[in-house]
Amino acid sequence: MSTERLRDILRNSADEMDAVDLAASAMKQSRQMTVRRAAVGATLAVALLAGGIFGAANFWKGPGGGDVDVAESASPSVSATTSASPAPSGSQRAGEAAPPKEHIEGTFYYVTSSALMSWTPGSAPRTLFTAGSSDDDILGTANVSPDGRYAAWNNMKGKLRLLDLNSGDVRDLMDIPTSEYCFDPAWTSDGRILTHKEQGGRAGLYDIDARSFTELPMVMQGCHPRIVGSTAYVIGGGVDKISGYDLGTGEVTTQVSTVVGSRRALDITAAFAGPSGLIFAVTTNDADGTRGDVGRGLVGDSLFELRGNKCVDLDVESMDGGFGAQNGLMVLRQKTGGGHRVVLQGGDGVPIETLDEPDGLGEAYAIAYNP
Amino acid sequence: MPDIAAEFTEFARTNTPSLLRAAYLITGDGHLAEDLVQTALARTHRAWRRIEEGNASAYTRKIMYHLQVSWWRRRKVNEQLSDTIADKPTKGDSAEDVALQLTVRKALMGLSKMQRAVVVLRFFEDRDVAETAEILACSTGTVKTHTFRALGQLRKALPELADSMKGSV
Repeated sequence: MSTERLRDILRNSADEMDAVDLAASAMKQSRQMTVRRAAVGATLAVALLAGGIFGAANFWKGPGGGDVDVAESASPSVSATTSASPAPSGSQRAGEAAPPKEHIEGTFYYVTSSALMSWTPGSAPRTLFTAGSSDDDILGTANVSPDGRYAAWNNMKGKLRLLDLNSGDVRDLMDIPTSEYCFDPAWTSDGRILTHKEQGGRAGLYDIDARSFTELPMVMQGCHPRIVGSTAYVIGGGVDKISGYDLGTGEVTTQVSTVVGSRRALDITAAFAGPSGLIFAVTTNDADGTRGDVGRGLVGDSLFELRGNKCVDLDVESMDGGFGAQNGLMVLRQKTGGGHRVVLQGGDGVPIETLDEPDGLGEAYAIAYNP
Repeated sequence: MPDIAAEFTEFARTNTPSLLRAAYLITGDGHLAEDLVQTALARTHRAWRRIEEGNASAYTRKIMYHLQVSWWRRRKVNEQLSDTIADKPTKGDSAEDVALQLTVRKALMGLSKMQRAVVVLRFFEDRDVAETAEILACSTGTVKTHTFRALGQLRKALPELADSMKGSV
């Protein structure tokens, strides 16, 4: 029996399906989706505006004033296959509501063995900083501030260093433990840096404007902190655990196993609020494989979602870096045959837009995304 | 000025039958298939102005498969398999053929969504590995792995198809 038999059976099964006209109902659903998205967008805009005013008045400790370049992205990448159907028009019918903006905007940041790079869709990748010495551990510790204005990393001779991405100026901020591979500087949403002065000592926040370091009331047991809201998450605090520390009280508010099915998270490469809950982009190995070391994992091959007090593997195909959310949508990096692409996904997990990364980033690791 | 509604209606009427057939195989239920195709068409309608010329069909098909295999899609209706086959006569309508089709459908529904999508793309739509990988936004290696595992399961459920599955990955 040949594969034709399987094809015949599938075709016969498919013949059971009657054809129906779905054009009108699809257009109706499309309009309903547009209205819902517009309502969500308006709500988000109001919330962001209110949050911005409130935050600026009360909490903003960052440098402020920095413009973040935002470029329009290209059209969605859809491979061509032959179609006899009518071509979509390039213009808009009068009176029809404009579609919501769903393009991937913002800037992606990457590290290589010695350089920090950025890429804004629509333009070529840029090298922002090239380390002159292996003491500047860009690959292992560089992180970009949420406003895209600064990058900080650990110098292995015991300095926390800051790069102003607008001016290119680099300066030392404070002394940190030498050979600090485990605790790369993590940014809070208001532009402060979570780090520590002494090996095994208390964590603290460095304020760039005030040029001061304020100790927090806890020693964080774990490596590679990632901050969401007022909580810093680390891998550690027990074997195969993710621990969440409240940055105000120092209390451990979350402790969940990193072993999910046959996978174990070695490092958190990113943490962010996803469409339906907190999401960790993690680098994993097999649950019974060797554990990682103090160097951070940059692969970001899995997404774990926090549900209650456990992690659930969202089982993403071909993932190679998860970045964060953009107005309730999520941006991921995926491998392709010849390189990588970034994918904007909706809350239902359906890709909305896909952009192939340009040449020059194939060997780089993605570390951050700023909308 | 182009009439988007007219263009889209013509596009939908041309493409819906083939989309529904594939959707029926990957969902195993007529109502779910209609729901899936309608949603894929709705998304195509929303994106009509920014889809590259001539690519609307590919775009819709890609969306449809992604909707079905997406990893966090909220399901309004659980997948289910009716235990009867529609009364509509098919090419093979003997009792033996009807029983075989029911067995095939049950076997298909025993596969994971990704495996089912791969089988339908490879053996119903006659897509090669590269095209299947492109539609499902995964690597060719992933397609081969899912094909191998899917055919392994189908082989168990349908011994008479065993020969057809050799070298098909």
